[in-house]
Amino acid sequence: MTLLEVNDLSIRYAVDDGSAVHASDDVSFSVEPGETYGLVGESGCGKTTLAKSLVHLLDDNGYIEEGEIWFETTLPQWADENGEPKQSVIDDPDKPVRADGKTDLAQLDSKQIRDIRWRDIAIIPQSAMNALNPVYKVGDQIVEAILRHEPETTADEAHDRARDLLERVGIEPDRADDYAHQFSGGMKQRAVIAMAMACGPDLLIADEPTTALDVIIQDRILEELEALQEEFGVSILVISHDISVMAEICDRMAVMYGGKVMESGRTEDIFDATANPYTLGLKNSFPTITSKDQDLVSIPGTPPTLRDPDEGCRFRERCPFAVEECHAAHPPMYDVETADTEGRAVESTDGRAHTTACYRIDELEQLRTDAINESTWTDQTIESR
Amino acid sequence: MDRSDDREPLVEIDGLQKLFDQSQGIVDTVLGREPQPVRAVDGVSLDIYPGDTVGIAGESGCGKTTLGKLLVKLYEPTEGTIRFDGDDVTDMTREDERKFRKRVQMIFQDPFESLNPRMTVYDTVSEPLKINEMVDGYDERRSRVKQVLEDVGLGPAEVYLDAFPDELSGGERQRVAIARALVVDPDFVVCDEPVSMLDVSIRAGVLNLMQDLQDEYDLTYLFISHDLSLIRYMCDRAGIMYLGNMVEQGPTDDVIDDPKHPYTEALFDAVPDVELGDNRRRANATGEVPSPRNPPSGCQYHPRCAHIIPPEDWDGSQEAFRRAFQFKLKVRRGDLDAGTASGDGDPVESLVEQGLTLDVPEEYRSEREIETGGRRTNASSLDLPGDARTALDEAAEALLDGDPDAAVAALDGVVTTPCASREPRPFLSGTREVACHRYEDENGNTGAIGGSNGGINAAPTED
Repeated sequence: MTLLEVNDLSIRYAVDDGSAVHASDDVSFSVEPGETYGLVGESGCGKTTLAKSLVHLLDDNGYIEEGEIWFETTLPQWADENGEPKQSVIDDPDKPVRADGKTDLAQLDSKQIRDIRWRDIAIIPQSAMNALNPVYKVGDQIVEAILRHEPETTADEAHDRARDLLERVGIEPDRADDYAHQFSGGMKQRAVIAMAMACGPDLLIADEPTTALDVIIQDRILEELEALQEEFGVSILVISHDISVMAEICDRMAVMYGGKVMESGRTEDIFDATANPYTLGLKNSFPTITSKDQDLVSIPGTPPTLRDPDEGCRFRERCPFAVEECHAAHPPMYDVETADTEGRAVESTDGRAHTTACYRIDELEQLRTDAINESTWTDQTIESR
Repeated sequence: MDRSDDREPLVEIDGLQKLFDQSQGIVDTVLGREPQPVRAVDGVSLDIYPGDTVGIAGESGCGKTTLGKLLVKLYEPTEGTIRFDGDDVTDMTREDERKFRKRVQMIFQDPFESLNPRMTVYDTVSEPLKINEMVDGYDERRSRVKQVLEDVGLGPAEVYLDAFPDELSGGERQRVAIARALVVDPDFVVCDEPVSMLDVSIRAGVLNLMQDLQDEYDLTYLFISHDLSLIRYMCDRAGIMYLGNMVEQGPTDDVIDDPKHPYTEALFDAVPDVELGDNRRRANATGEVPSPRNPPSGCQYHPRCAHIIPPEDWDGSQEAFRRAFQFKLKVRRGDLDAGTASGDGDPVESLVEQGLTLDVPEEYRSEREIETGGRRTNASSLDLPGDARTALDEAAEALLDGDPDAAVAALDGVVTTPCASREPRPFLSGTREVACHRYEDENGNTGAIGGSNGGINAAPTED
């Protein structure tokens, strides 16, 4: 049973001149309970937008154009005594609740989503270092979050829980009475994680959780996230541009480019059985600490602008393998396993599968072989293909 | 790159120090407080040979950018000397300085900030030529600019000459910044995180370009980066900085494959890697980088170090000493007091067990620590000498009485490391220079540590 199921989600940012930035286009993925799912991609690929849209935290000009965000939860007013949705709610076509107990977050209003935030889905923001309020004690900020989202809790209980949470993430409980400036960078990050865990969410969204941190502290924070996951069974949706970090912590991931998911699947499949030209190019372009004498090759060109993009594959202009077909329409997601020429028409719907958005799925072996050659990426003549 | 002995270094840095913020405010003057400067670079010595790429790595605040800026004379050093091609750059005539500025260039981190948005690419790249009065006449200048732009991969140059920075992508901007540095045909270029603002897919292009240009323009690079994988890719030699000090330097492959300094070891263990998978070790270091305004005494890494050296007369294990030393640090920081002695049982025992815990990744923790989530460890299972155990108990009792000074006093005689008393001198160990007491000791360099028991546990082991 999945915890979160995102179907064909498209998010736009309105621009003054009437056009729209297609920050995310027909994105589908799912997160299982207790797993770490990664959205990886370069800046401007839409990964942060996507994560924010799940809990309606988009900027004012951003909106969900279409798509569904099914999440395993029931709003209190729609729940029976077991926390399951009432039959009358499921039957009501106006209420976005499915028989399996999932609610479509995309259809909730701003008041309803507030009941989901923090209690069910908590966010560790991108600049967690600056997410703490400098004029309130750190402990009080956690208490506030608890009281705000769980009105039935008493202040004393909330204080005890705040201290426990801090202790759980490796901060002396007495430091609850300190202010943010008295914390080091790593401690602030831990405190923000403690705050996100305050109401026992089922899903943690961690947006670049370690980007501003030094490498030794980053290492400890990643360990802490893993430990929390093991202990509380919380699912984590991580957003990062850092492929090495993602490779280390994610069970499954989606590689995004230009607002689209280019490839998704289990982490080891993405790295060991790469099935998309963009991922192949990405793998060529970053150095690893373990190997000597690497030859890095960059992907030619630059990422596309997402303002009213055309129909073709978003990556085609930088892709050495682009063919005629790629100009007509962005490819659907194909299942890598079942791909053959006949299998082309069958789009993968199973979230666990290894899928890729590439028409040349039946020539994967050849693409992989060619992608290793530097000349594949530098040869100018291919661009006209 | 092989190092023949007859080559003269291009840049010789000796005992370089840069302190910031030495002035006092009026309140400090009235109260008679001593100024407490930030010790950004604190006694760095380094030779850079022509044609080499020397990497400087370290965490934020370690002084790597300050070092780079000192080398291009954007800062004046507080102490120490920098010799460029034999001449002392801190003491130059105006004419010599003009020549120096032509031979030494810098590429900055953020191409979105370092280019003037009101200047076209041509203006930006030709400005150094004008300042240095290098080329006569517009036509010659223009052809020189075009040449350099094509060299940095911005071709055909006509397309770019009249463009403004906001019309260019990040990768193109950084190439313009590189062109601006190279147009005067320098000998030495300081590159401060040149690709950290660029997307992964275009980074490699800029890095490879820099490597190609090194051959073409006969350049020597100082490559500053926090990203150790990049240092490995780019550099022949690498220096690791910690709190303004160079803790280790040597050929990059040696430094990374077999780090000698405990900090270098922790740093490389902490780097996530696609290829290592589950085999990766985590970094065995406690705590975080302290403030450069008030750095620890002696070896500045000692409070975090996994290999901290016990005193000569310590007859327990090194691990026991490391834990006892963490106890002392916690008392000093005020992290341990009567209030924290929670749980049932003897409060003294409980405080000792709490104080002896290590804030390290799980794989380095004791069983009891794993069970208790890092809150407790077994004092009895540690190989603690009797007098140390007594001192810990005394300290815990003093803490329960609310007297932390007495607690520190109880520990001072027993739990004292030679690492804190004296700064380690850089020592040549194999191919590198390491500033760590363990290596001084091994080679009998100084008599300060020695000793049979402490030495065995502290001695570096090759495994």
